[in-house]
Amino acid sequence: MYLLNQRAEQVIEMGKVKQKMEIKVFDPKRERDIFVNMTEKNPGPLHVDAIVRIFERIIDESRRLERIEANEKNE
Amino acid sequence: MIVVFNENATAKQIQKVTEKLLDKGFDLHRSTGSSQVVFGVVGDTLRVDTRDFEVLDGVHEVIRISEPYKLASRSFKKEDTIVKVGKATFGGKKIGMIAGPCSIESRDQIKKIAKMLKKSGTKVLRGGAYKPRTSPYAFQGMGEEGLKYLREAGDMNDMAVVSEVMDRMDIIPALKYVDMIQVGARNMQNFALLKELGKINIPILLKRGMSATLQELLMAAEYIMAGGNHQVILCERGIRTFETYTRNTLDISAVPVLQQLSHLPVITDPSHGVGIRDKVAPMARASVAAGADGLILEVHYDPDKAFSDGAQTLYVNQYEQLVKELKIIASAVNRTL
Repeated sequence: MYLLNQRAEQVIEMGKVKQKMEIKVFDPKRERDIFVNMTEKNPGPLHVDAIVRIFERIIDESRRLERIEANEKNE
Repeated sequence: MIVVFNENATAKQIQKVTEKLLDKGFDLHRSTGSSQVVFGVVGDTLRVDTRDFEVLDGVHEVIRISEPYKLASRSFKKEDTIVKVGKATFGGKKIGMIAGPCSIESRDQIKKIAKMLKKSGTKVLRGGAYKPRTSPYAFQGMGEEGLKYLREAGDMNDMAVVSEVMDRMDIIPALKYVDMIQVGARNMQNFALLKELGKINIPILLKRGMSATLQELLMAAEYIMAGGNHQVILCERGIRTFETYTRNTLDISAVPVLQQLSHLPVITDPSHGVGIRDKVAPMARASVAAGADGLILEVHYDPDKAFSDGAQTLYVNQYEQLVKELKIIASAVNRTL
């Protein structure tokens, strides 16, 4: 829980930087890199597919957080 | 909304759909399965035409979870809507009865029928002044003059009156005379008419089109409600099926289904539903047993000489007998009549 929230704080910071640099929230290449990175480092016994599914949710929620933060800033 | 991708969808195709959904402000819950990718799409998906996504490369299917109608939906308003028409109510414990001739034929005819119906406690009088006949050569109705006679007959017998309007030009004149406007089956998807009816402040009796799905009926109700008029009564009046013995097939299952999907009152029209006089009463009894909030029936003192729909019109004494039977059925399903 602590680590997830720490990650979320960094996501918010990243979002601010992305907005300043006018980079889109959705970066497919970066997301793919994360999945490759995670699956390569996976020691098991969780299957790599399971790792992808878990990280999909983490990234989906991160993107949602970035969107909400950006919307609040714009209002 | 759920987006299901083809088994062989490429990463690029999935990426394109992702971008389009994110651009529209939706949140995604991706789920990458062993053979297929599925997206759960969260947000205001009511505004989306699912076909816009179905045509994208790599997409197998787009499934809507929420109903496309909102104001008419039970999830929007939990408690039943009660529509008042004169002294009758539709949607509460009491079952509302609407009866009268198919067409208003003369001042004497409508007055005579109203007086007879009053005796059996009927609170709403029906009568057509603008008739949507299948043939242009058939009797087309008396128009505004007919509405005037309908109003007189209603007032003399302490009954509210309802009549059909086919053209939006006729709405304003009709408002001088009627307590409720009926949208006929043939006009259920006349969206210009529905929009105008959304701007007025009297109840609307919306009949199901003869080939309309229940969702289409609810979308038609949504048109009226979106304009600000929330007093809509839904009416099942028979649908087209392969069976030709009866004029239409009265879809009694529409009653419990509509009551589940919507908070609006639901009534049936067994006269048009079956089109054969001696089959009208059984279908009326079945409707009340199924939980209908009301009935609309065609009644005439001399159906064989009626200008229209004589074959499906009840004699007054048949109607009186039916009302007695309906009272017994109503109490069995914890309603009153």
